[in-house]
Amino acid sequence: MLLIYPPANNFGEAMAIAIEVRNLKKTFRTHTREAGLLEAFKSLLFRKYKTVTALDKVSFKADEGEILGLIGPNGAGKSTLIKAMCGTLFPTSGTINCLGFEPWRQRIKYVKNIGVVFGPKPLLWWDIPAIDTFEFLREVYEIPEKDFKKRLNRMIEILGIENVTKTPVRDLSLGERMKCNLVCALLHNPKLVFLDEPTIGVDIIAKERIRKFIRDLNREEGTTFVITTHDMSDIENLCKRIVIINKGAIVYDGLLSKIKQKYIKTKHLNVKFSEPHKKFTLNGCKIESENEYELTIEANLKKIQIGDVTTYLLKNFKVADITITDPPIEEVIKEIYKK
Amino acid sequence: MSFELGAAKLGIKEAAVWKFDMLVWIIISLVSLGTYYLLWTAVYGFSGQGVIAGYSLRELITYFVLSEIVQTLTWTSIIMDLSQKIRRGTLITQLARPINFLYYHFWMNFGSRGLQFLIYCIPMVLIGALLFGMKFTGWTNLALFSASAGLAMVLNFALSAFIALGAFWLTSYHGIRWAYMGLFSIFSGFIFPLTFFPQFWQKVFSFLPFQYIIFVPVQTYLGKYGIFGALGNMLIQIVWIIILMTAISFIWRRAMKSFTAPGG
Ligand SMILES: Nc1ncnc2c1ncn2[C@@H]1O[C@H](COP(=O)(O)OP(=O)(O)OP(=O)(O)O)[C@@H](O)[C@H]1O
Ligand SMILES: [Mg+2]
Repeated sequence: MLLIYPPANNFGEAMAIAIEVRNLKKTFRTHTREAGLLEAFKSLLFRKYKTVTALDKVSFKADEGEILGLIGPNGAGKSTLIKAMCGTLFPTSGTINCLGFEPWRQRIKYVKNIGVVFGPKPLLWWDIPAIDTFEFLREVYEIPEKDFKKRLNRMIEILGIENVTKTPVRDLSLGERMKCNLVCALLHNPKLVFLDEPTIGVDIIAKERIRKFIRDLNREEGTTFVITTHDMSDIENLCKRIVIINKGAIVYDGLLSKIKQKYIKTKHLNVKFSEPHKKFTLNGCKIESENEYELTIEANLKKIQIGDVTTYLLKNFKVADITITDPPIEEVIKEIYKK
Repeated sequence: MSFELGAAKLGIKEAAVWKFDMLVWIIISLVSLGTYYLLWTAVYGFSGQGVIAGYSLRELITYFVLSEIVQTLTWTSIIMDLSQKIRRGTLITQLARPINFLYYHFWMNFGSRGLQFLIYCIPMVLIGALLFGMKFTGWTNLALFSASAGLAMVLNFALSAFIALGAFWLTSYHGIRWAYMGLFSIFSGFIFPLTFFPQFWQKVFSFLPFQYIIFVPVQTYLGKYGIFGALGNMLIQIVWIIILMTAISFIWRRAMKSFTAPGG
């Protein structure tokens, strides 16, 4: 089963498109109600309805073999978008094409090819051990016994859940359940995988293992992933490209590396001196902290180039070391969310 | 067949978790059997009649034991389960799998019913026969009864699934479930035979699907219909199943369009 699909970085060939979303719109009708008993009673008789637009004019594409990060603040519409792409939510308007299917029209045929994790929603039967769910999924997806054993053992080993799978699911911790959810989503070796907050409640070591497993699967099998998460290190570790969504609309679609270029207007310089330094002043630079042997500067790239700052430093000071860093990705994302 | 078997196995495993509940169910049934016996013995004694509404005391006891058994066999959790999955939004976890949820649920339920039936049926029949004089009405009737009870199982699932679909449009579904269960226990003949009702009501019931779930199979066992009458009833059961399944598949498609998959 190795390398049936073109691997992610096989730039030589034209890559097939796994997902194409065009002008997608989804509105919900919910009723609103003030707090209080009287209001509760009133709402029985007169319901006030309000329309929420969860997604509006959303268009994007994902190539086969890509790991796409989908990020945005709470209530942005990420989960709604994932549900629509899985064929479980009927869009108000617009079209989706995944793997050549129209998800909600051809649901059963389509979902054979995908795997999904819906955040903390349990994918497992609650009162029995997870292994029983896995056995049932083997029948559902008609997985050959040999492949089933091989994949299951591999995932059990990577996730370290040997004993976990034999305990009734209701007795498991959140993180343990999330690991079993991940197994449910990947057991049938789907071509396209949607992971809505797959690392919620998972510890650091397991997070790293999950990420490595996702990368391996992507490389070996060419599996396409769409991942939403609030943990930026998930994104930095997995995704080349991200789509940022805010208030139901896409606000950024492009390479993760480019987002820094586009939005980062400052860089930080940490300078160490071999002798106590004299006063530093330069147009476009702000001193963030300093002591006799050390100085931290924030350079405003609109006003000055980074090369000019270092040249100035080297010329006028006895410099022992310079480190230049971008502000953390969280800072950038925060700026975008605030807009 | 392996998908169906897999679903049934899940049902058995899940049902086996509730060993204590099963025990309670058996004890309650046996206690109500005893109460029923005492009550009707007194009624027959006071009235001085050997036959009331066409039933001898032994027939009535037999009726009660069998109605308990058929109820155990046909019972389904689909209303509770589906309404809960809709409200909590966890239905999407099943929709994201290549299965027909109702079809899966039928087979899962089939497994759990099978287990329950085995565990429950033996003590009921033994105690009914040894202590309370339950009747054996012959192999033909038993065979006809089995077929009719099997169809009743499918019919009750279809009817319950049909009712359950309402949860797609109504958020609080408990009231409807209780109302349905109350109506069901009377209209199906679970509490007492429908022949106790006036002619007019019996006519009304015969146009509804409920009596084909408990009353008709049990009457079949008691030999009240004869072979052709029993086969005719099975035909009606099949017609009801087809009508309900057609309605379900139509409504299900509409429900999928309006389902908002809340939560997450
Ligand atoms: N079934 C529903 N009924 C009504 N409104 C809904 C429903 N599902 C989502 N919404 C609304 O749509 C918006 C988008 O919700 P969604 O769950 O997609 O957000 P999200 O980006 O996944 O957020 P989070 O990061 O918190 O998971 C929210 O304002 C939410 O209240
Ligand atoms: Mg979400």
